[in-house]
Amino acid sequence: MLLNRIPVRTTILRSVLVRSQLLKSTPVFAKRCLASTLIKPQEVPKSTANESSTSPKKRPLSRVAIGGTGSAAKYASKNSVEFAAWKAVMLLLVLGGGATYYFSKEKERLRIQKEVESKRSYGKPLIGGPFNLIDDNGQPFTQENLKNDKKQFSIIYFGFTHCPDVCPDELDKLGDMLNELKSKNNIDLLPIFITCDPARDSPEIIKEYLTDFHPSIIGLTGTYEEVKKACKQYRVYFSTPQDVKPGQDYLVDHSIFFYLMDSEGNFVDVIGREADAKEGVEKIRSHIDAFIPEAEREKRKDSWLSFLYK
Amino acid sequence: MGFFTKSEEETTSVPPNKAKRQVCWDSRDKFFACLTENKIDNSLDAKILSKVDKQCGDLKVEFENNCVKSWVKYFQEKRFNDLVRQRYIEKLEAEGAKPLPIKLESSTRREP
Repeated sequence: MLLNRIPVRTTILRSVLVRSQLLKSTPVFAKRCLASTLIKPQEVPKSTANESSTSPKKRPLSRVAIGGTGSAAKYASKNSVEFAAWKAVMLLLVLGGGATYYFSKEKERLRIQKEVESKRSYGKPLIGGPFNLIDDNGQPFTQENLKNDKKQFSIIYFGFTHCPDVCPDELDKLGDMLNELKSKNNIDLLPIFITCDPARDSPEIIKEYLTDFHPSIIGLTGTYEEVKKACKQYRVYFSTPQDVKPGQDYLVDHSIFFYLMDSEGNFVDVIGREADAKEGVEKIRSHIDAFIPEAEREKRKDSWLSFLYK
Repeated sequence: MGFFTKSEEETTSVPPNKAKRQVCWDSRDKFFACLTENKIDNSLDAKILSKVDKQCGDLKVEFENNCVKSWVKYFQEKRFNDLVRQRYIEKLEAEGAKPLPIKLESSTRREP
């Protein structure tokens, strides 16, 4: 399209030139036509006054085609690239389609970034925070273990190994999500299972339990106080029956959510029970895609392009 | 939780693994299918306990053997609660009620 335009312009330019030449030779006509040409009225009469006597060539107006002479047409066809209309349409469709796709994707990304940023500006989310537990190998595990430079997000689930139906279902879902993220998007999450039943769930038991779901899930436990503290940080409610006799079987009530945390250990989003694995994957993927590390965020704020992100 | 000692932990704290869970769920489903067939809503109700034992006694025993004790109680309670809830929803829908278009999962999606 652009290529097409250039020769057209030159012909217009030439036609203007031709006109002005004509004007030079015919001062009477010039006065009439001035309004239609772009030439300033003050300049034209001056030049015509000077040159009208010197130019001997006088051609009748009617013989010159307005909008271009034969030579102008030749000039245009020689210098322009022949560009068939269908090629132009194809090019427009491809470029336009590509640009539309790119910008709509970018727009969605910016929207999520803005949303996360606006949440951040209210102050830190009240979900998440320091905890001090031990993993299924007996090693200490704290909120610092969630932080990394590889932009690896973590997903945290609270449950207990004696859970009758909800936790196994949810952990199966987690396994599906992890597999799909890995195979389709090549995203490695750090999946974490925190028990709400530290009395029965020792590191060994949790480790054994989690092998049923996904090999990468890390199970955390700790003293009753530490687990309670961690649950409180994540606003997880749980209740262990008060009057449990030794050896008695019991269930633990607890709230069920997946907590998505970014690679700086900050809370990003929750995935509830009503979301299936596909929805969960989509949510995680879009958040990881839109994530900007803190350093870059600060840099953006100071940059002269900062208005773009507001 | 100070009363926990090592020996007790060993007897009580091994959770059912995947295979055991599946066995439990299967026998639960069979028992519940029998209850539905015999129009028993609350299998824990003391008044109809004899009816449960008479109609689905074998399946009940199997269910109790295959599942941890706490689960046996939990699943029966849950079945009754779900039934009550389902009937309530059906009743409301019959009266013309429509579910609210609210979903908890909305933070990455645009609101309609």
